[in-house]
Amino acid sequence: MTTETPATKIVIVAGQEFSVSAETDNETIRQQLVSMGFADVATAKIEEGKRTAGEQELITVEFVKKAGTKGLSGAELAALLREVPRASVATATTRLAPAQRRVLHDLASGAYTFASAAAAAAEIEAALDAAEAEMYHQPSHEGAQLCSRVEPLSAAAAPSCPSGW
Amino acid sequence: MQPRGATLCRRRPQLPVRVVDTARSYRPRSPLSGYQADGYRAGLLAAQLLAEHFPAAYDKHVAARAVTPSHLYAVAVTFLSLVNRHMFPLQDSWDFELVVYGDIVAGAFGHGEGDDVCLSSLVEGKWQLQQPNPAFYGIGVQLAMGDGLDVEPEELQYDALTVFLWWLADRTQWRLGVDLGHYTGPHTDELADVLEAASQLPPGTPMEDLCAAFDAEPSSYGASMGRLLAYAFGQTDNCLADTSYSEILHVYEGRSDLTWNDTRDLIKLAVEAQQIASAYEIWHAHVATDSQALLALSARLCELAAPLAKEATRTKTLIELLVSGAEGRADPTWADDYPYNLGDDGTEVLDGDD
Repeated sequence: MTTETPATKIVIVAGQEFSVSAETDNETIRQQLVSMGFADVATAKIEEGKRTAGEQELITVEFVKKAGTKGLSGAELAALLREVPRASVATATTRLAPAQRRVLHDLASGAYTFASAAAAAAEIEAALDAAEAEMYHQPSHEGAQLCSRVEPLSAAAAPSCPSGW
Repeated sequence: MQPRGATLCRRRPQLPVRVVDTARSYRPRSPLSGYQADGYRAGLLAAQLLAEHFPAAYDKHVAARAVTPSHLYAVAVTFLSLVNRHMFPLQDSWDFELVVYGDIVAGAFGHGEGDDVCLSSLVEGKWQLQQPNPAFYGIGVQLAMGDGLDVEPEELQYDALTVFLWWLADRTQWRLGVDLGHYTGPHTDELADVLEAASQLPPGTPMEDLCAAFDAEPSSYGASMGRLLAYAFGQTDNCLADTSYSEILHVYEGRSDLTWNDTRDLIKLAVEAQQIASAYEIWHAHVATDSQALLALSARLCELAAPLAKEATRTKTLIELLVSGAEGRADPTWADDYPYNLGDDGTEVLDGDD
C-alpha cells in the first residue's frame, strides 16, 4: 500500500458517494451539498473514516443525519425531549374589543350605509381583522392551555404507552 | 342445530364512552364569522373602487343604501359591469354574473340571491376586485413552449397561419424550440405540403427589424402587417395581445401585475389588442386555406429578411463587439430570463460553450 497522501477523499451523503479534493474543507462541502438540495446535511453530523481503494487508503467523510422523533424508541424520545430547551407557549392575546364587536354587530345588522361605512373605513377594517383573528383565537388558546399543562411533566420512557414515553 | 343468531350475533363488549360537547368550541363569539368578514371586506372594497372610478354612479345609486350582503354583492357586480362596459372587457367569471345588457344598476340590485350566496361569491371572487381581470387576446405562444404544463389539449390548438409563421421563423431568435409537428395535427395535409415547399427565414434574421420592414406592406386587415407578424409570436409589446388567459392560468398561476391604477393604460391596451386579434383573424381567413398565398407570404418575408440577416451576421468590428458586449452586461437580468443564447446560425449556444 502506498504511503503517498491521496489527492481525493470520498464524501458519503444519503447513500450517494462523491469524490472531492482531499484538501476541501468539510464545512465547505456541507455548504455545497446544502446548496445542491441536501437540506438535511445542514444539521448532519460528520463522521470521518477510512477506506482502502486499490493501493490507496482514502478518507471518507460521511454526513450522518440527526435522527428526528419518528421511529425513535421511548427511551430515545425521552432523552431527546430532555435535550429540547423548555419554551413557554405564548397565549394568544387577540380579543374582540367591545367597540369592535359593536362595529361588527352594526355591519351584520345593516345599520351602516355605504357612505357611513366609507367614513368609518378604518374602524371597520380593524373590526373585520379582529373577526378573522377571532376565528383562530379559540383553538390556539386551548392549545396553549393544553401545552402549559403538559410542560411541567418530565419526559420519561414508558414502553407500555402507545407513544413510548 | 343452534338457535338462530346465537353464535352469529354476539353482544359487543361495553366500551367506555366519553361524550364530548364541542358546541362551546365552535360557537361563534363574533357577530360575523371570519368567512363572513372576508365577504364584507371584499364588498366594501368594491364600493371603494366604484366610488373612485365611477363616482357619479356611486353617489346616485349606492352611497345611501344599507350595507348588507346582498347589496355588497350588487355593488361588486355594478362596479365590474361598469368596467366591462365602459373601460375594458373583463374575463368571464363564475363568481359575479355581470350585467351585459340593459341597466346595470337595476340588473345588479335585482339579482335576488340570498345572503350566504352573496358572501360566498364575494369571498370566492375577491381576487377580481383586488386586481383587474381583463380579457386577454393572445395566441398562447408560451403554452406551446410550456413543456410540462398541465394544459388541456384543446388549449393547445393553433390555427394554420400561426403554425406556418412559427415554422418560417424556426431558425431565427423567435423560434419556439418545439416540434411544430405537434401543432400541425388538426390541419390538413395541405399545410404540410406548403411547409415543405416554402422557404424558411434565414438564420440570424432580426425579427424586430423584419416586423418593421413588413409594416411598410399594405394591410387591409385593420392592423399593420408587422404588428400581425409580431402577434403570432407574442411580441407586440401589448400585454393583452401577447398573452392568452390560459397562459395567465397555467404559466402565471392566475396572477398578473395589473392593478386598478393601470385602468387608463388598460383601456388603450384592450382596444389595441382587440384590433390586432380581429385583424389577425381576418388575415388568417384570407391566407390560411390558400397555399399560393402562404407561399407568396413566405417568399416576401424571405425577400425582406435577406438583407437584414446579412447585416446581422456580417463580421463585426472589434469596436462593435466591445459596444454590444457592454450593452449586454448593462442588463444583468437578461441572463436569468434566457438560459441560453442563440448563435448567428440560430442554434443554441450553451453557457460556457466556445
